[in-house]
Amino acid sequence: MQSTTVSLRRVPQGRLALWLLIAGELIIFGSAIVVYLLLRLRYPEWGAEAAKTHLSLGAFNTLVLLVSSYFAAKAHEASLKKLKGKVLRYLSLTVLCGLIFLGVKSYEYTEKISHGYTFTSPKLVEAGQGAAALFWSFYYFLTGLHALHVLVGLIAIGFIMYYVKNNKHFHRVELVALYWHMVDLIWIFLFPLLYIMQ
Amino acid sequence: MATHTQSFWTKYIFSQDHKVIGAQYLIVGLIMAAVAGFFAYVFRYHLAYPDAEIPLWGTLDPRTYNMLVTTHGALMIFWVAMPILVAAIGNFLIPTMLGTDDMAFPFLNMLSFWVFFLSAVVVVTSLFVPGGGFDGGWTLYPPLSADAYLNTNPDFWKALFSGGSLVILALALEFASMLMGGINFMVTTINKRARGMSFSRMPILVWFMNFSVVTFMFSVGPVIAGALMLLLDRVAGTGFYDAYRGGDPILFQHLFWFFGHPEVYVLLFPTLGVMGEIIPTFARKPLFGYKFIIGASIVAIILSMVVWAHHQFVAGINPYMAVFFSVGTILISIPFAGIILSYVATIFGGNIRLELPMWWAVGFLATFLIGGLTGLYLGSNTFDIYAHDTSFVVAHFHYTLFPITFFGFFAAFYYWFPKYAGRMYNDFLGKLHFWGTFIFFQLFALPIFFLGLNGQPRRMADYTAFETLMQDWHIQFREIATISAILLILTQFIWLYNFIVSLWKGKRVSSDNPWQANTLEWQAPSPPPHGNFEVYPEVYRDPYTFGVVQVNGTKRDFIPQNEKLPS
Amino acid sequence: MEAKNPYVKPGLEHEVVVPPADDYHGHPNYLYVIIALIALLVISLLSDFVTSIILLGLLVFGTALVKSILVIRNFMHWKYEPLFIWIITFFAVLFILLALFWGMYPDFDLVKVELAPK
Repeated sequence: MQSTTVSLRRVPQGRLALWLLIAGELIIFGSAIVVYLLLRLRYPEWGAEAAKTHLSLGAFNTLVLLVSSYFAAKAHEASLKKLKGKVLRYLSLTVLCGLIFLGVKSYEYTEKISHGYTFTSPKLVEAGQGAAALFWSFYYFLTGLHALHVLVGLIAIGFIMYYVKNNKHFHRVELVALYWHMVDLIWIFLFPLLYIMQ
Repeated sequence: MATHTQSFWTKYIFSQDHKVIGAQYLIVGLIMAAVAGFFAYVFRYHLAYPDAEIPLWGTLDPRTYNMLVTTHGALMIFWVAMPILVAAIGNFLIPTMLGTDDMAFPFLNMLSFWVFFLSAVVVVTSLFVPGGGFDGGWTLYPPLSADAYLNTNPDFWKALFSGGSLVILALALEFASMLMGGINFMVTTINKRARGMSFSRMPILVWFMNFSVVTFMFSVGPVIAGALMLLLDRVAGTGFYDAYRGGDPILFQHLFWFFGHPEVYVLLFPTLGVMGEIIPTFARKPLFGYKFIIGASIVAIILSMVVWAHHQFVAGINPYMAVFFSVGTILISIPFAGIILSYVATIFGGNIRLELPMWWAVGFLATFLIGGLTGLYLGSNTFDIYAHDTSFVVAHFHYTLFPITFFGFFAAFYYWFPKYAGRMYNDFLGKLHFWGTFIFFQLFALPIFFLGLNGQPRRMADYTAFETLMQDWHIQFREIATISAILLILTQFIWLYNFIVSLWKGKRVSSDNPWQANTLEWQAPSPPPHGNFEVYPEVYRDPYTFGVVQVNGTKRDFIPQNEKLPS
Repeated sequence: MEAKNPYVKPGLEHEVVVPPADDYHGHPNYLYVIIALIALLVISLLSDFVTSIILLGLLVFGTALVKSILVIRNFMHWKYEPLFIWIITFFAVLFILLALFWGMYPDFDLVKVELAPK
């Protein structure tokens, strides 16, 4: 394992663009999280609302995403050697994990909505707990935005799998893996913020 | 490169050629400028003659007035200045200045234009939906922008197809387009520089373009999140900005201005870059302080991220923070003063050739100076509390943004027109256009300073109810401003005529390098074909080798970047 | 192998379109990384039994931070990238978010909160 860094001029353009995209995305998510944190510090009662989220399902989802990230990294490793079968296998495992994540997520959403904790939570607002309703707005906003990125990532992986199947653009596996790791990275921060911090 | 034939569609409409995309951005930007300029004419006319029927429009009610002002602001910033200064100039110049064939991602480049086009369509559509266009100010502050919808169960489709929601959507599309374009610019700069072109040999414009997109990229995140939340407040009924439900309207102001202030520099940097190319070329002198300018810009970018709240001094922010933001705002003028002074120092003692682009450059320096200096006043919160929301602010930002957008664009236009059209413009009409624009702009904006200092509030359709604002000189100043604004708009038709006629009938340029400049785009054929260069150039020196240089016993005035000298 | 690369345009060989053959920068052992990540996840879940708020915050955000560093450094190969990429993806993002937090904190958490009456 060599650990020399490449010079900037030798970074392929796709990877460079992906890093810039990731920086942009991290700022979008980061600022939403900053806003959430500011209001979380303002309203201690959000702790009680956060306790109503499903910790075990959230933890399971974290696990799923971490493992999917591992598969994506393995797919990237395989793509450098142009091992078509291996790349496809790892990428489909990544997609599988992504789908499990979305499935669990939608189960959580249904459960929450059936308990009256919706995007706007009118019940809470009518009960005079406007701030508590705001927690649920943030919960759906942050996780929804993240789920949207998961979906985009899945579609992107689908395209890449199609290319790889036709023995084309092996280098793009790395790019989609980078994106997927970013999705994972964001979830690593969302999970403790929304589920654990009670 | 240009061996394969292209149909009309792939050549001009869904083109992936950076020059065609630049031209597309330019055209859309100019059309939007015409719309926004027409709106300006309507409400300026109303301000000067509140009871009169406005020619080409009719009567104006206060709500429509607000809508026109809002749309004028939003269009001019996001659909005129951004596409023309950043996207069009960047697309035209970055690949050619770097000596390469195209952007790093031509397809992404095309996509970014079409997303931008879509956003322009959406924002124009927003004027015609039921309920009328958005009229709450281009800054979209809640509760004005969200108030009517602050209930937990809004009608989704009705709320979505309202003026405000469509403007937010259009903004989101525009930001996405500019992010794509910005990533493209940066990757192109890093990856596609010609052989031998190190970072320290890049033309200053390429540096500035990258500063511009970096500033944009790093400041736009908060407002994207904030705008999404605002959209959800409107269409889904959330309470992010609803004080009753624990949200906070100030939150949006913070998120907006975190982007909104750096946005000014996003627009300023390309113009500074254009000036940095034009001034050395026509002063026949190396750019003064190349490395200093780059360093100062980096300092300015970093500072620009921590000064945003000077737009909110009267919004009820924490007074201790106001002091900090005041100091930061005044600090940020130092790097920019340094850059402007570097340009002045470049002119100083130069062998000046007073061609038309140089007129625009000098005009820019002179006009922008006033805008920058009044910015110092407004940056200090003690003064700002007095002047906030008066016409003084309006005059200030017109004095910054007008020179940035239009002087910057026209300087670039006249400078690079011979290159990209292959023909020369009419010099006399150009001079007429310059003097008209320069004089009428000053006459338009200067009176507004005095009106503002005298307490005239902005965003008000009619001052007739206020006796103190209806003294003779107030009325006269408003009339002067309005007449000058109309003449300013009319002057642009000289340019339009010049542009169109020169494009087809102008004298063909005899040389590929009519200004005797050094950067690589002048070494390409005029106009550059698809692929730009016949032989991709290799760079041997920095781009500002001007002045009398001894080369093997002969005196040279300039040496192009790619000319290999026998050693 | 790179004799005929469809991505490289004639005359512009100096531009790096696809990773060059010697771009292979080594791979960390992903298995160790994922095991470490899962271990950290389990540790962060222990917070359910922690009552001290400071310890909880430290535990939860400490593990999140370590996890994210592991992902960025190993999965995303951050450690092999040039300084420029470190700056744009880490220092710049961190600076922006800190600036945002710091500029907004006095307005949000140093004021008395009263929900507006309807």
